[in-house]
Amino acid sequence: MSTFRVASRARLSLALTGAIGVTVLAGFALSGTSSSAATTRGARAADATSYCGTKPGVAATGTPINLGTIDTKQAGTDFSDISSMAAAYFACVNANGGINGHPIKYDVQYDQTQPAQIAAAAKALIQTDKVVGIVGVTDILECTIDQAYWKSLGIFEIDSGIAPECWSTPNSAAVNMGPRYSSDGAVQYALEQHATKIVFDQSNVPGTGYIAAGPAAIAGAAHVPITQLTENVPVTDASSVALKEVDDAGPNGAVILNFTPPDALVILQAAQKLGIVNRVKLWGCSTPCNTDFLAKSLGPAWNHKLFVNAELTDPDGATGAEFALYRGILTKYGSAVSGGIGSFSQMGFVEAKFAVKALETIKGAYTIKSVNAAFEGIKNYKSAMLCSPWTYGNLALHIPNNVDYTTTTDNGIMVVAQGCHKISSADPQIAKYRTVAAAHGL
Amino acid sequence: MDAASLEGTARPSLSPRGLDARTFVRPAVIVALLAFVLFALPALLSLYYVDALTQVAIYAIVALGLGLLAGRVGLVSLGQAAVLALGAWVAARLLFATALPFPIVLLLAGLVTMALGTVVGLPALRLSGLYLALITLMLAGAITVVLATTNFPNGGHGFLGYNSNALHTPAMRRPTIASSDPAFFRYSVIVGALMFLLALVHVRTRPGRAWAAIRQSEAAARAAGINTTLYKLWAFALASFVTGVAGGLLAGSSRYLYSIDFPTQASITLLAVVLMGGIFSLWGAIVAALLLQLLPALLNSWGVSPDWLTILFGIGVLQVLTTAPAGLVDQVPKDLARVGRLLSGVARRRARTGESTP
Repeated sequence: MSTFRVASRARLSLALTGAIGVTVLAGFALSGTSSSAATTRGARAADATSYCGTKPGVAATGTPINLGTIDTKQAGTDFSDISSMAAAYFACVNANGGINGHPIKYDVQYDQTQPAQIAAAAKALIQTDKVVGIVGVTDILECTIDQAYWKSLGIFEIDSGIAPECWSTPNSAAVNMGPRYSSDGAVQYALEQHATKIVFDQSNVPGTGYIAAGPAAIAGAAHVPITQLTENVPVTDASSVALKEVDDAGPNGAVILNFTPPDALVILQAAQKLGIVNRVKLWGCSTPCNTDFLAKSLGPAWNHKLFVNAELTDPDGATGAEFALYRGILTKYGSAVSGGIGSFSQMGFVEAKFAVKALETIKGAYTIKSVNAAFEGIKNYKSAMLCSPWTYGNLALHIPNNVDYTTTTDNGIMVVAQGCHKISSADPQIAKYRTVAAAHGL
Repeated sequence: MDAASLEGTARPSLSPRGLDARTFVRPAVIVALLAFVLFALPALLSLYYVDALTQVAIYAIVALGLGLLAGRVGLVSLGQAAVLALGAWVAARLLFATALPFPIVLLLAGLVTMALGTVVGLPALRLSGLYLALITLMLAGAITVVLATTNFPNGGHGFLGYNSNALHTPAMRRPTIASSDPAFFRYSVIVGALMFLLALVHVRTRPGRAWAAIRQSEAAARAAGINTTLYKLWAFALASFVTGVAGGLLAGSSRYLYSIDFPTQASITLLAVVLMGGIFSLWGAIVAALLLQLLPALLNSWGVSPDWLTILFGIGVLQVLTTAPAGLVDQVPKDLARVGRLLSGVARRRARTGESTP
């Protein structure tokens, strides 16, 4: 065989392998692409934006205050809407007087869930971008990776947590409750409806044991048996998953899911297809299921059968000055917020609002020390989007959002099923936080 | 490109023949380059780019292993990212469970991965081309599923060392002499240089010649008395060893490891950049690592989504395989030389025109 033919064959083989690889990669990339729809509102809502600063209509021209964030942004997992909404809020503040005349410069670092990249992003924010505060972080791993770094610098980040360290360390406080405490809320609601058994099923991601410990403690305190399940995601055999859950729960039991909407949806739709929806007392879900997209996809067959723990006030139909401001900012400055009105933009709004209010208390220079002292000093800040006032404080752990709602599906939308309700202190971490906070007079 | 020129590029970068000026100049350039990378770069760059270049150093070793298999022996593996994950897992387990010095952990991670990688290489004795690629891809998928279920060690007890109840995930330790980011970058570059040296020694000695013969024609190699079984497994063992060492470095660099960091498609991307870098030259591995790790860091800092790279790498592979099979490492210098000749030709013509004009 000639050398030329060998080389040609090798090249053909490589080309075919490369072509297959590229096709498979494109498949992975496309399967993870989420659709989004921009939301627009009327000019009346935009008028409300003049209230986001202290000097309506006067652009801030002073030296900028540098704030930063790190967000997971990759195909299939994109949390950038939260920082985009925070950026929109800051743009509104800058156009209306800024912080005592100083505009906020907001530096956003994105990562693709690689620990080394996240650590590097934190250093880039501090050393290159010279940020003095971290606001709006929503990242699968960031709290775990950077918490020691923030502690060494005296930075107190305000975030939308995902990793356990977002709630269990001194230098992070989240406006949301995260998977564990939201699952607690869903289990708690099921117990209040007298479910005699709980089946708690969640995606098999790092930290499943940490999440499961909360529902287990709450069910245990009520002397109700609980079965813990985990599924590799994406769920590929939803029918068998749904069947297993229903069989384990029994007729008076409840199935509680902790999945992202796409996986929760396929399980719930599989249950509907199999005709086993009514073979349990109720279905529950943690916060990610609180979307009209899920309610619409499930349809009226699920009316008042799925109960979802909701960390933030449902914006649909909500009125008042804060919601008017939220919609106004979204309209006027939020063109980058691809998901429009929803939990993500609400989180960004609340985080930015609290950060701005804290910055306004600073007298003198805006340094890492002064800015983070202001953040740490946040006490009883109110938002119409949260059930209870929000406090940071010098604590070993922070779970400032521990009171929330339960919503349910109703003809394609989510409606409130239960108003503000405290997450049970049967979860030892909730109990620990309340004890620590009380000891500090918070 | 014809077969002869392909062979020319397939030859090791450092020719053992002759003691001409190039024999001394090239090592001197390499040493100078290494000194610049070790001492000047960390001082010149921000920590963001130092961390990115640490990843480049680590992934250059991974690309080296895959380049050895694909370029030297002609075995296309789509499971090298999974092999890297195995090395990282072993290193993480050792770092949490023992107080062994970091270099020993690297060595053990390499050896354990080598043993596992050699087992992976067993199908290669009977398969090649697309079939081998498919088998190794399926194996990578299987390892991804197993890792998603078992997770990476995080300081827990038992064989797996994973504590799913952890409220705080402890960071993995680094060597005492390389605890800071710039120091760990230097450490990674030195380990990387040693791995390249190991590969170079193999390429320039009997195994390298045997691999070249196997790549040309396995039947002819057997007829020439080459033990093809031994040398194919040897290639898998060497590639797995260096990849396992890279996994150990990755554990020390990242300090936290997650199964989501090693998706199955990472092996495909890896092969794509290795092909783009150039599989017939050891330098190609460095170019591949720059494409894989520095490019996303640059795009991120420019506010451009690195997801675009999937498309870019797809086009790049197509371009390389159709017009430049030896990769960017071969093509770019040629293109630069062509541009240089073109420019000098234009300059000469202008000079002549100037002379003839009264």
